[in-house]
Amino acid sequence: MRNSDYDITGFESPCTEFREKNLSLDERYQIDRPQTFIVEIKGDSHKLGLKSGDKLILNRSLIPHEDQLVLLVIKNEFKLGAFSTAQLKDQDPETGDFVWGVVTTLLRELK
Amino acid sequence: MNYIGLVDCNSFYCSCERVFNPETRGRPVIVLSNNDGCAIAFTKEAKAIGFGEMCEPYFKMKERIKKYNVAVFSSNYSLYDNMSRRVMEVLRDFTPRLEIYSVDEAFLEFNGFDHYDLESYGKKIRQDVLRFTGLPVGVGISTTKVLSKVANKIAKKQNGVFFMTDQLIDQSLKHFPVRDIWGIGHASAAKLNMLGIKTAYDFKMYKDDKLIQKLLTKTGREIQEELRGVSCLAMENIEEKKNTGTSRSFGVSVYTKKELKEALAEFSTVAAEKLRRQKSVCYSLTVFIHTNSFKEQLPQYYGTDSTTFLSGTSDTLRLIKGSHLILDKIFRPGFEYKKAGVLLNHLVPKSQNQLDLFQGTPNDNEELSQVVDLINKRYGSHTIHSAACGINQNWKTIADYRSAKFTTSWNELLRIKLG
Repeated sequence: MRNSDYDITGFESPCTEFREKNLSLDERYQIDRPQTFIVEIKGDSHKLGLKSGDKLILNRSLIPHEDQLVLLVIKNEFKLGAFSTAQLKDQDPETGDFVWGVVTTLLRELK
Repeated sequence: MNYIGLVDCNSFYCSCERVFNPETRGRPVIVLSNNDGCAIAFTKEAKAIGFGEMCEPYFKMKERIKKYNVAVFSSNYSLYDNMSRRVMEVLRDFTPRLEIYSVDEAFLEFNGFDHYDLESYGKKIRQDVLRFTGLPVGVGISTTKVLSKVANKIAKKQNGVFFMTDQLIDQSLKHFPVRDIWGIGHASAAKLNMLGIKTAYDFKMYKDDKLIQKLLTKTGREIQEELRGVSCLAMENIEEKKNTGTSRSFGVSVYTKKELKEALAEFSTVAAEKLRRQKSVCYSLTVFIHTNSFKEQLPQYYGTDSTTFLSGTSDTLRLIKGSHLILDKIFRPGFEYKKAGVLLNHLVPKSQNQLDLFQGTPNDNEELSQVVDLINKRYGSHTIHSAACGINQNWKTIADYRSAKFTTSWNELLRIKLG
């Protein structure tokens, strides 16, 4: 469904002035914000409830709260897991360990 | 007081690669040009072990790359473009006026920011860009563009941020070599050195304005004024481009006219899309083809010619046709071609396009172009293109070490292994 106007030849719809925009997944999940990134999972994890092929939307601007699912860089490798303040006291995004992004949304296509 | 900030990304291409390949952090990283011919970007770790000579051929570096465990990437322009736009989006929130100067640097206007502590503001900019995009930047702030460039260079030597206040300007310029000033090339620096001008401070204080005007023209005088805190280079919103174009070296040597026609059709397509994106038309088209000048033992040839249009155009098919007519004139058989390109000159905004006196209406098939652009935007570039661009495209660029298009292709997302 397009957001643009249709040409009406007969009576103008009384609904027109109440028209609102379609739902937009881009807007809802802030897809075009500079801090939003999407990654794909390889392999299953019962513990995290994730399946191979799942896609995750990450927000890099958020400060994670305890136990929130985050993508970490630990010893220069990516690792997905629960955030723990105790484990990651000093973050250094240029050379050390840090939170690469906070997982906000799970995208799973059902086949 | 009006202030200007200059933000630029450190080793931009290499840093983009590191965001998605954290194992390359701390290691030397280099990025190769189109066709993996030579190196065009280096991290400071790579420079520290002797890399950094612009366009050093890749084959000459191979041994050293192995020895020092250097991470090598083919250039991934789709990724760099996307990351660049992210950086600019973050910066936009820090200023009412942003001038994007290049893929990895931008000027920020800070008029009426007197009640701000610009040193902390600069730190916040650096911190946010790093957190949001993963890219490290340097921030220099001062009263003119030239001075903010100076401040930026000094920032890189400390913790990445430098607010060069009026009180700090003179002592900073005293330690700043004149050849490092923005806009002062080798030749100009040599002339200034002859006059005994060694540092930016010497240049600022040099009294004989007329002599500077004579030696370095108006540009040199403007730079000198900017060093004195007098703003001469205004903020520009959109750079009005006078020409655009596309050229590429071929992945393999190309001998036939058929292959060159395909390549030129492809370049014309890309260039026409650029034109339409900036809502311009061009009045003239130049095509060039040439052999590989590094292969001195082979016969060399450089061919070029231009054609003009009576009414401005941004029509892909017209430009392809034009490029093929020129090729017919300049093509010589028996040479091993290495590079070709199209240049579109004399650009004007589409709204100022002149009509062809004898034809009355423009020849551009605008509706077709619009539909093609829309389809390619929705389903990915090259979904629909002129058959003149060829199907196999044997001449296509080599990119053996290109990283994935992590941010623009669903098929190439960053993969995270579990377990």
